Amino acid sequence: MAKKILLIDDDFDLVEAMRITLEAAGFEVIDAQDGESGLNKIRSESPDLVILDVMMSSMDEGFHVAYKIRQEVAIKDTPIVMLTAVGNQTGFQFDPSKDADFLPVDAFLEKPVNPKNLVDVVRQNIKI
Amino acid sequence: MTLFPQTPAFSSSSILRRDQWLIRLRWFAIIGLLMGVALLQGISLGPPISIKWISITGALMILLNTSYVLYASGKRQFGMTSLVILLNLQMVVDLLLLTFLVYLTGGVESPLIFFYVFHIILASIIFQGGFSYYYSILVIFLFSALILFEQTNLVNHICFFQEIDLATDTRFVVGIWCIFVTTMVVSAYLAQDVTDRHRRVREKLEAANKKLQEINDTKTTFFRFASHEMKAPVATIQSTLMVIQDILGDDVDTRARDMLQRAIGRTSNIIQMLKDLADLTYGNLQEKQAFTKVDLNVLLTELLADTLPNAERKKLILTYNAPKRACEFDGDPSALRKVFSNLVSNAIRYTPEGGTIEVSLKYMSTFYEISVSDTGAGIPQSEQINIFKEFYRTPTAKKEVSEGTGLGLSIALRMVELHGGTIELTSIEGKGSCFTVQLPIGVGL
Repeated sequence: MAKKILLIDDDFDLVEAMRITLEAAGFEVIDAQDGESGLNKIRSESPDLVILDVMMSSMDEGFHVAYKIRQEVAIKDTPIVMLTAVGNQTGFQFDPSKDADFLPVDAFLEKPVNPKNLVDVVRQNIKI
Repeated sequence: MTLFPQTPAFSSSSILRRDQWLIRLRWFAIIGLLMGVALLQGISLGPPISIKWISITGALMILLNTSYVLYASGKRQFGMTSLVILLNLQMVVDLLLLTFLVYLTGGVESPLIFFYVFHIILASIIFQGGFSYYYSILVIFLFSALILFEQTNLVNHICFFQEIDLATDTRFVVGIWCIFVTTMVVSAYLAQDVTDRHRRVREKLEAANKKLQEINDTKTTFFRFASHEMKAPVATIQSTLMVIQDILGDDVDTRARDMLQRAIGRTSNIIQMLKDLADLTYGNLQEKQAFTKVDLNVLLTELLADTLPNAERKKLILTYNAPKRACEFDGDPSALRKVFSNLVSNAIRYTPEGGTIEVSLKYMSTFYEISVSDTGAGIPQSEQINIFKEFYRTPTAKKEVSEGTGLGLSIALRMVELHGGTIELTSIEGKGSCFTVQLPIGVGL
């Protein structure tokens, strides 16, 4: 059975672009436009991996969603790939190897998303 | 927006205000003088001839001060010079009259000699520069002349306190007491006035400075927000283009594929430009929080390992002269990485195939020296002063390499300066360039 990936991002075009790439790579893709409905979909659909945008309605909505995922026993082991366009723009710098303690995600992907990179990162982090 | 509603500098309006202040003070002096005359008559002290002339001097002062008032209010348009001359004239006349009063009240015996001090303080308040020194010279001259004239009998000495025992004479004690009190009060007033003026100017400057800082912060925040907001859709466009490129694969004709590739290249440029613009605001907010211990040796080793593939692609030899020790430095690791990554990627970009790029790090006890030298085209002398300017790209750079925002070196310079350091360039056209960064140890932001 195809692995299921949930995209949580309010940028519809980016979601579509990622969907095409991931479906071509053999994944099943579902999506949510905001953190709250994203959390509900994780609970109801139990995806194998979540791709989560940092900035949605607020600057750090993605972080809050990530924390909530890690706090709920039923879904806390879902791998999370965090999408950022943040980089230097807001003065934040991420490094998963160093910041993993307080950023409970498995990988970071910087926008713009390169299709090959996307598939690689998803394959590396999804649990087989 | 006017940040300085009232300029503290030497302007004609501020001189006019000082003139009006001086006239006000003079009214007080006149009142004091007339009260003095009344007191002297009341306690029958001093020779009648003195009292008469003191009264006449008082009347003359009233006349003069009235005319100053009329002159200042009648003519609105004053040049700076004429105002300064007018003020100096008033001060000199005041001093001449004071000297006359000193003469009338006994010359060297006169307790009024204290009052010279006020005029010197006044001169230092009213004028800038060395005026108070000139006035002290004038005062010394006037007083010396008076003494000299009396000594040589050119003028008759007036013995003001005739045939009285100074220490026990109540009239003398009261007179001296009055002058003492006046001296104390006026000194306090003048000194306080100087301090207050100084404080007001300082407060105005501090307020203006704070306002500028706030405006700058708002600008920086807006700038970062705007560049993020612009970057997000462009990033999506690029992601979409890359997906399309991926879907089409090799089934599309070369022209269409090239167009797509160029479009992706263009979006990369925009994204780079937006990132660079945001980087240019580095240090405007509280970035010093990002300062931590960085090992420059480790930082450079990692950076060069990352850039090695780019150098190899152009068949460049990339070498690193590493010191045999850790090079700990207090700084912002991501900013420092950006500085060196800018210098190294410039070197890679502008050095033709087969060239050499040498990076070295040296510990010089008070600073670290990092140099990046290449065997590229070099930068002509005439363009060397411009290359750190925002958006500047040398004509050669533009011709040879299409991408590049012209911001890289400005950002590098800014970030190095925020660490208290410098960047220097030595370059020989046709031979190559060498950028040298010096980072002082124990300075930073």
